[in-house]
Amino acid sequence: MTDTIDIAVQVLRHGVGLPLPDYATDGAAGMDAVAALDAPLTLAPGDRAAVPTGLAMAIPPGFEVQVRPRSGLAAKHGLTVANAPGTIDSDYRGEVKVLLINLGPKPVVIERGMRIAQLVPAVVTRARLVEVDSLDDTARGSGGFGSTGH
Amino acid sequence: MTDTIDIAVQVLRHGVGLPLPDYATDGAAGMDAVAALDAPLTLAPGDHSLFVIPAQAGTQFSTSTPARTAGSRPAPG
Repeated sequence: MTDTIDIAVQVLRHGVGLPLPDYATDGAAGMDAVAALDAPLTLAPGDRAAVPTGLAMAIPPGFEVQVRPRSGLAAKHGLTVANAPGTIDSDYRGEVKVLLINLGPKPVVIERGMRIAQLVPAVVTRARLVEVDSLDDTARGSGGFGSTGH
Repeated sequence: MTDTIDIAVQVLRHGVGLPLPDYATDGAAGMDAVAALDAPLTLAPGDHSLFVIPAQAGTQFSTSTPARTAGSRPAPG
């Protein structure tokens, strides 16, 4: 069983005529968002760009939307989301943009309507930080990066 | 409605004087954590600090996190 939430979306001027983000299959976790570019954009190796989606949204309080890379673009071109998983906060009302970066060896052309990222709504748990003088002991203790081996 | 949990944090010596991670807005999903560096750190293109200068990387707090909550994420775009 999957929970479903309603998210109000506003199609911006340059997004008119493009499909809304949608689930490609019944079991897809994310909706594919498309590029709302007026003209093709070429990303040279190492370059990044905030690619418009032509959408703004009102995510219900208590939720966020994660912006995740699409595996096909990463596998084929090395194209990924620079701040993955990006976070769209529930009080953000600006245009959703996808920070794409080309980690591949060749230039990649992004065209209008190309599916560039997947949007995954998620429940947010917030924390209240309580400052203490010492923390409880665990078996792991302070073993951090790399401490559990390969 | 948002669930809220308490997380015990210990401010380490080099983190003293820095703000605790906090939500920048009412609807923010994440708390912004700050760098607890003693001196500025320059990252050359392609560098990642963790393996370059382990002693200087890291944030100023240790946490005791409920077992079901884990993970960290890049800052929002």
